[in-house]
Amino acid sequence: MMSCESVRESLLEFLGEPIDRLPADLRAHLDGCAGCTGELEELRGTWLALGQLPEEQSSDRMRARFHAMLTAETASVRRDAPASMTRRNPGTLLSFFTLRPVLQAAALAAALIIGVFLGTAIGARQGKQDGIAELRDEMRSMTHAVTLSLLQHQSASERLRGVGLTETTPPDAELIQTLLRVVNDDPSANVRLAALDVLASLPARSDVRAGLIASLPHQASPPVTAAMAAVLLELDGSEAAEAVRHAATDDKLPDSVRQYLLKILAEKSGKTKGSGT
Amino acid sequence: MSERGPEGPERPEGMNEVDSDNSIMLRVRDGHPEELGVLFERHHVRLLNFFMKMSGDRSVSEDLVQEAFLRIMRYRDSFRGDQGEFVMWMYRLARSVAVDHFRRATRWRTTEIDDAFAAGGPTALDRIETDETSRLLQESLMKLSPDKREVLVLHRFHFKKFTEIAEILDCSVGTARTRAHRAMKDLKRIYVRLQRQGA
Repeated sequence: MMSCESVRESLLEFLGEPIDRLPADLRAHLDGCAGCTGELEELRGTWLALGQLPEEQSSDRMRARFHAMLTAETASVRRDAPASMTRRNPGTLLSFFTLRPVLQAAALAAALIIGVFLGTAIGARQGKQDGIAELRDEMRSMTHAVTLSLLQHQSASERLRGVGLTETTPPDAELIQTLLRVVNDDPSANVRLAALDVLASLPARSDVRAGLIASLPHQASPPVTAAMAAVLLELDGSEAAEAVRHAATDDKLPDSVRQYLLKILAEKSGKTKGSGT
Repeated sequence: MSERGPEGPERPEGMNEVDSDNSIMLRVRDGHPEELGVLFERHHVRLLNFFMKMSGDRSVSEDLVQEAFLRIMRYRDSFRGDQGEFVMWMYRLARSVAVDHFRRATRWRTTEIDDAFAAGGPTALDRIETDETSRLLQESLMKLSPDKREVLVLHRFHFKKFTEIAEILDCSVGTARTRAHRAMKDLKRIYVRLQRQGA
């Protein structure tokens, strides 16, 4: 004899089926158990309601992105093929390593750190501080190269890691421009938000503020627009407030975003008045 | 109720889609990466719907589809045609992409932004043009814990049996079934609560 608990879990397998298609032991239990019959009706109601959720359709943009990735990956496979001559053995450490750009970047960074360490040790003994500075510069430039390479990656995850690496790199003009390009052009809203976070940590830079003011009207994603407006108002300046006010009139934005922009503008204005009295 | 997405290019006579998927993936693995395009055409819409139901965000879901196919390409050497069908392997990779996404999302605050919008009106789910019931259902789905949501999405929208779900999630069949049952109950409870709040 089946318990009510096991009957109720078993019912899940048959929610899309008419009741006469249920296995005989389930039907026998339901005939004599009002509780499980009620449960079946409830589960079936939820199941049918879920069927109302819309199905997403593909888009030309998705196909274009996929084919760009496929072209790049195919070219990379063709480039690597003559060197290896045969298919990679999936079990080898080498194949594990070559599949993961982050491991490559980590190995590169580790090699450079070891280099700097050895350089420091040797330098201390030999008094060659110039060599250490040179190694440090080299490490900085290699980290920079790895960061730029990750930011060009097909994978949004790798680009997010690239953005993460910029947090450890001293912010020069080139890095700022790179991050602004990410904020403007990256196809992933998550990557754009991550780059925005890094830029928000550099409030003293006028090129950050100018770059974000220029970028705000062109953002296609409402969450990025909202986050960028909040960052701009934090960075201060009447020009930033004007840019946000202008964005709040953009009728392409959802009402909720426009209301949010007006709300943070009002908060900012309240704070400014408060600090002025 | 068909569980198959859009058909891709024609396959050899006498070959079903599972065999055909497997043989195409084996060819991708063995030096013909360009053939991944056929598998993309066949399966990307169902992955898009999987990620859409998991994240509730179209733009994020498109990113995750791209990420999933990139992983299929990068991990092609680990595909074994003799150990089950391509689709199951694809779902396992897709699931790991979703898990990584939710781990990152807490850092990159897209969820926080959506929450901020929830206080003042509709959320990013506005982009799903549906009636009120669908909107409430999607919102309820988003409020389920990710582990319950994924088992429900696989079962209800991808018509996976609990034996298959157990294989994808690497858990027992009993665990998958119990989790789905709890997910259905929680979903109903959340839906009713949201409906009352709306009223």
